[in-house]
Amino acid sequence: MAEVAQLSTGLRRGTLEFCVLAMVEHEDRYGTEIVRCFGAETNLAASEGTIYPLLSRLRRVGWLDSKWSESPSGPPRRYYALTDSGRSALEHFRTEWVSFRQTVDRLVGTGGE
Amino acid sequence: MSSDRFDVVVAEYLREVEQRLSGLPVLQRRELLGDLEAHIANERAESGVSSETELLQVLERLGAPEVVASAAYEEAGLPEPTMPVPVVSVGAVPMPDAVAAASGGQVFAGTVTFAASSRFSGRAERTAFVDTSEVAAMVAASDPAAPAAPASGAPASGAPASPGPFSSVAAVAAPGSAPPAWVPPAPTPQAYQPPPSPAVIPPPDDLLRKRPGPYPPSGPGRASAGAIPGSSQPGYSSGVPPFGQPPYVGGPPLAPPPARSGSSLGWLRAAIAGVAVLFFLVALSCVGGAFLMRSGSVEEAPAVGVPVQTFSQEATDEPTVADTTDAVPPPGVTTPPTQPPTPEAPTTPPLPTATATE
Repeated sequence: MAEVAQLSTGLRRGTLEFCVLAMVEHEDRYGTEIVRCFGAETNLAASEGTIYPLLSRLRRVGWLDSKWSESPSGPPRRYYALTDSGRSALEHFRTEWVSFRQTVDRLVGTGGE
Repeated sequence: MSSDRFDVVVAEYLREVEQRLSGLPVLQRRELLGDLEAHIANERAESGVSSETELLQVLERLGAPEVVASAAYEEAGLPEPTMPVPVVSVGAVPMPDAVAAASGGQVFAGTVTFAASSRFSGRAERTAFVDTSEVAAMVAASDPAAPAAPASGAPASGAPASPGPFSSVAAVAAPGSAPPAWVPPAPTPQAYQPPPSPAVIPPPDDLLRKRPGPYPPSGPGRASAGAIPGSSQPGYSSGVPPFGQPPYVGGPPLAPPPARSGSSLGWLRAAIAGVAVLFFLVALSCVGGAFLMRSGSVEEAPAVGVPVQTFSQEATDEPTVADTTDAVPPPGVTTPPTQPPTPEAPTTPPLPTATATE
């Protein structure tokens, strides 16, 4: 069972950050909103609290930008937006991911043929 | 449940997260804590959390503090520091008398709560069934002063914690007894002894012998010179703590001698030294001569007449005073001074006149 969890962690590492970038590609989202989306996907995030360190790192590397905005109900929210470098990184990942997925499907036998 | 109680629970959760984020830079730590706090506040405001159970579910979805901290360290690229092992305290829940009587104490099941782990870490409370009679027997075996374990359902309260296989056991409950309160050990009265003043602490021998300065503390010769009387260790480098007592500071180390500028001025120094020696010798000879003259051991030099040269023929024919005084008397014979003869008036030759020449 531990190997299965480790496999999930390994698959999640390196792809989760681009899922975050894709989530804020078309509109700005605040942290709780992003976390809720990932919470619905059980295969992506282990817990909601692990998303915030990822958001912090993406902001430090310049792929995300954040700004505080008042909330109609509740405390202020930090909204995240995709930067130009983040958009370029996301496009590069999409290109790489297609070829990577095809290769893995062909080798592992999950291509559906 | 009041909002204050919710705030306390949230603050406790955030404090546990913060304790595990001590290895992160302060800005990242504050940012993450602010995000978590805002997330919890948003969830409370939007989901309408009205009970502690719902609040705990929110925190559970957020993740255990160690999970969040581990993710933070991984994203920051920093190694996660090892947390100290918490001390496991064991509490007890009293057993109803009826159950205790029915069990007879042989298979008494107590509830052991591991309170050291976090309440948010998923290991909040764990129960285990233990045979208290067996535990009491093991405690009694490890501590001879403790009372023996009762054979039946007699209360075994008061069994003190002792090192051994149950060193972390704080108290062992017995059926029908309240959890024993921890009693701090009574302090033993001791006479107050002021700490030794640095002035009365004798400096180590090596520092007295080897000036200047006590540094480096592990210099050559310290291993044997820094021996402490009564200790099997010979010196600092052999395990004796170097700062067990206030260090003796013997003063700043002496400054190194200035570097020589070179040997280009050697000849100048030699010349100055030679002149000084020559001047000293001259002065010494002068002083010595003056001393000899004052003591009278040196006779006066005989008077020497100055020969007078005359241009007359007669004067040239007569013997001069210098001729008469050529014979120097032997030493020790005093001769009366001779009066030099008055020279005759020189005869001037007749001046030629112009008429004669004409």
